Amino acid sequence: MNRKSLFFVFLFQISLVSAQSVYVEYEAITNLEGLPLQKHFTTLLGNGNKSIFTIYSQVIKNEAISNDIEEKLNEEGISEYIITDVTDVGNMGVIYKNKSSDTLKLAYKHSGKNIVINDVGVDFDWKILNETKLIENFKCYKAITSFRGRNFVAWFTNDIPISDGPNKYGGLPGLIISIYDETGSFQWNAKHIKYSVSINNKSKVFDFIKTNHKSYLMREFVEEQTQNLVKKHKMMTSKMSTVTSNSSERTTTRKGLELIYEWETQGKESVIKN
Amino acid sequence: MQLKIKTFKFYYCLMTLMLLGNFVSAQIITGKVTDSVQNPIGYANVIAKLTASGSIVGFTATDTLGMYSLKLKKSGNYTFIYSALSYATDSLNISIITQQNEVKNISLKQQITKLNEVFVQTERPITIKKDTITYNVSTFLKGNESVVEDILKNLPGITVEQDGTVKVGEQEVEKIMVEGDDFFKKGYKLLSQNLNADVIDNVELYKKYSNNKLLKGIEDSNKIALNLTLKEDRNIDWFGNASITQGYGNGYLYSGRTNIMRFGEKAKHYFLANANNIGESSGGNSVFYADVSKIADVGTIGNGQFSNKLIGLNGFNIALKQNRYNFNSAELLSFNSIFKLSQKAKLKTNVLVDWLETDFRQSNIQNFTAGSEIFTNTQASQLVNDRFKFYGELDFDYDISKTKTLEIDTKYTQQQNEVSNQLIFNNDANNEKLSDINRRLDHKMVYSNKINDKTALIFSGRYIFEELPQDYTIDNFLYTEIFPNIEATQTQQIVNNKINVFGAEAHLLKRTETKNLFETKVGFLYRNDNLLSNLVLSNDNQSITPNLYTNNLVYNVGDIYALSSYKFIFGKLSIRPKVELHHINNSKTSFDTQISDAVFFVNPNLVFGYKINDTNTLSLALSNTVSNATVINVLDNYVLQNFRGFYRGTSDFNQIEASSINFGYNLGDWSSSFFANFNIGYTKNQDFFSTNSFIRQNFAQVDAIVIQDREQWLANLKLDQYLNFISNNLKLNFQYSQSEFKNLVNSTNLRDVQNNLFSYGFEFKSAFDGVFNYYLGTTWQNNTIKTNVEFTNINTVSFLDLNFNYKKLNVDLKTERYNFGNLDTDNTYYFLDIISKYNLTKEVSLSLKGLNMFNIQTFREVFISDINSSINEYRLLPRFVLLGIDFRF
Repeated sequence: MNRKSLFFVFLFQISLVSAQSVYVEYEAITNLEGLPLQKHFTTLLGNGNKSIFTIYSQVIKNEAISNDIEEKLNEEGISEYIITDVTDVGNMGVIYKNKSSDTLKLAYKHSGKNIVINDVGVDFDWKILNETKLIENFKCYKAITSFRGRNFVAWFTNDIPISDGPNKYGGLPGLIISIYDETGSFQWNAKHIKYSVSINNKSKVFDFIKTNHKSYLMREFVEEQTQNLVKKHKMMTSKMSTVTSNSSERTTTRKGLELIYEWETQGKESVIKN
Repeated sequence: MQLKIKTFKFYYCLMTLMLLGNFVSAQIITGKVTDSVQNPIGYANVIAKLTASGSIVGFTATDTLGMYSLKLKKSGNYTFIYSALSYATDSLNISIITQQNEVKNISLKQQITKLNEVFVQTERPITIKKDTITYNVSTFLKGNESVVEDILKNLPGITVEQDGTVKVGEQEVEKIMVEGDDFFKKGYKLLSQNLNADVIDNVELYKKYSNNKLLKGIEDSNKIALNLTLKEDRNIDWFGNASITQGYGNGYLYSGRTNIMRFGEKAKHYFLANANNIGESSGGNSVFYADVSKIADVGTIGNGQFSNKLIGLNGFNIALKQNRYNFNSAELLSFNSIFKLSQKAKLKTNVLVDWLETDFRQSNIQNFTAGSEIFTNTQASQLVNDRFKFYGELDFDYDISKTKTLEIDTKYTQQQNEVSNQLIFNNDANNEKLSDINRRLDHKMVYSNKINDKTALIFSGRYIFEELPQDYTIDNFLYTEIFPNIEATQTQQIVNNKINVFGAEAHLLKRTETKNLFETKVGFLYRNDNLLSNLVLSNDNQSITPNLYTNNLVYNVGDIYALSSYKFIFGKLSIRPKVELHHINNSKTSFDTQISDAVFFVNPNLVFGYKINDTNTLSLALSNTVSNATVINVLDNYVLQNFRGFYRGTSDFNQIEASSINFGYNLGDWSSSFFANFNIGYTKNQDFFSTNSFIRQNFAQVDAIVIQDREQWLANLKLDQYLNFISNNLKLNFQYSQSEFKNLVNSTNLRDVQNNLFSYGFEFKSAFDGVFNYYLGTTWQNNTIKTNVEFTNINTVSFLDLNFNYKKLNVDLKTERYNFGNLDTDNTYYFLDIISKYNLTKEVSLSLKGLNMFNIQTFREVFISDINSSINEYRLLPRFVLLGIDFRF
């Protein structure tokens, strides 16, 4: 038992002054047509109210990630917690969720610049189905929802009673163990769960407090990106050596995780089928 | 009054509320969740379950003050479950009978959850193991897939081009296997475009694939292969698909194709049939004749060894697509099976039968300027070719142990051609006939031994026998000037050409700890050519076989060789020096005279690669190559190559030497907005085979001679720029080549021949949104051949493709324009093809094509060489329309 583990044991003994949290490692898989398969190691640390979800560029846990995680878990809440820079250990991005202030922030490095996006439109209308299954002794319920153009299936368990999950997902009465979109293009599967772990009440680990990030609203950012993407896509298709059956659909249709945004469906109730 | 209204309003509201309550009967349960000392618990989960069934009918969470509120739609017995981190989960039973809202508070007991660690095992859609990616196909299906190709399009990282080429990134895959078995090697399109999608369970992608499994991780391979695994239940059934096309035009036109297959545990079968008379290739060639691997690869000894065809009648060279001039009637049957004999042994059989009848018509006018001889020949031919081809292959693979394998392949090909040509030469009618039967037997054996993780030793052996007898007849005698004393009415050439090739080699590969690769090969290759040719000039009374036109040649070449290369990698720089040593024994027996000779030479080769950064790369290659003469180069006497052309070799052994240097620079790739590529190469032939020609109007007699110094330059530049403001991509291509050499024409003095070819062009391609897009381009070609006279030829080829795509309908209008600067009249041709496809259902699609819509029936082209310029005119398939249907069963 090394010193850090001992420290953990100590933390549990005094956990009355600490908020209990849940720590989950998810494997994120992206299978998008025409792109190489991507796998990422991601972690969620949440206390029910706030959570931090970190996406690492690595596929599996390595030393740099482990250090980063221990730093977060052992955070004692000293005056100011400096979050590891998004690029320091190969982090691709961090999502901060805060229920009390009803905010969701995405911090990451975009085109070499640190940015933070305030995503104000995240809201899930879950439907819990009767189907249940046991995943490692957790009784999991199946729930479905549509979010930004994709239909998702989630398996959550009330045995771990935090209303949270990987990426932006949450809002179910329990932790999401597995969530995937119905086409199988995106998936998050819990691989390793630790509960509860203790985080000092004063810890700032859950709060985004960096100031050198350029701040955007989700809508601003998406609109700017879409314009750039359209330009790039047109350029690439125009270089192919046969006249392709038009590129317009591909150009205007997003292929990523979020296909359509609230402000784009104003007045439309329909769910976009993939 | 006012009071009355107020009262009314009050009752009205009350009534509305009561009514609504009756219809909706929604109850709102509110409450507060606290700990044992009445502190509120924020973010606690509240779940409402039906007590009887346990299904969740509602859920919510508490706010920071511990308050919750949950709306229930129906009355009944509910269990409310309250849970929060650090607290023990508790529940309340709530019966809702009335429409009254209820308040349900609860206090939860604090509970220190001890640390639980759980490792979750879940099913995965994609598994990556080192160099293998396994895709679980069901995860990626979109529902509109019909054949394997459609699945591949949906898999991340894999792209399928319009012609069916399967690529991973920018690289074409080596093969597509089924359950680890390879039916078609590079001819995999037959499988990917025909095999039904619904039988596939997994797709496996192998990176750094080695055709020899024991060489994995040792050889320098960047090959990629795919493997399809089948669903359990589809392993027994027969299944297939078919497409039928009916044409309307000149005569009865059709094309049809069907596939039937069965993939069992012990045996796999794939059968294919194809027939058409609309000028399309039956696909038989691409399946088996694609050269699978490069000579430099492991176990490829004897590749590229074929017998020489001395005389051929269909040497066409037309700028048009084949299906414009190919009057054909083609039928093909292909049967392919793989039998698993045991865990270690496997047998593969391929049988292909192909019938092809073609009818080809052309006429030409050739203007010769051969020294002092200046004349014009006119020629018209109607050539009918009847071909039958049989191909059989038997491959036996045996795994001796985990580190040793044995592979034995036997191939047999037989091809028969019966060609007849009605030739009008300078207004005289002639009948030409050629029959040949080509038989080829090819045995190959490869024994592989993986000595350790980094080292492998491969022994391979090869034996090839091929014969190509030919019988050519023309009912005329055109060579009075050569044979002034002979009066003949018929010319015949009977050829028998046989080769025997055998060889064996040992190949050692060793990779070092620093990833450098050392390779060495030693072996020998022996080739024996047996060439008999007789020219028979005859009339009704007698036949004469002139000696100088008869060959009886045995030519043996034994090559003992050693090759060694080492690839060094220093960060961005890679250097690969390579040395080949050859000791060659040549012997030749011509009639009764035998001569022999032995030579030794060294071929060095050096390749540098430098990757400046991700977008800029440089390459430089230097080589010096000596090559030995082939049988054609050493012929003692003349052979007839066409009705007016004789050729003979030098009758000596020769080695010719060439040095070359090539430099390349690459900036960016197709995914960048600007992309440029530049190559320049220079080759100097210290010696080369040139010709001494004696040319007359009725014949040409050509002798091979060895001459010093030939120089060739070749340069090309490609620029590719996307223009955002008009959503178009612009491509510019420049190519220049120059060669200078010497030959003899009707003279004893060498003359200089200089050939310059400059071509340049552009392409514009749109990337518009919406239903319409276009693609257009033009290439100008300027060719000059300079001797004592100068021939110049300027041709222009342009195209314009318009594409309309609307939902399930796709229409392509393809136009082409050809302009020949040397033609005074009728020098421009326009073609229009319309191709449309409509996907009716998942199983059925319809197609409508209109080809050659401007009904161009003849096409003329100009060719130039150092002795003539000619105008050729070809007959084309007239306008026709095709209506087709595709379906699966």
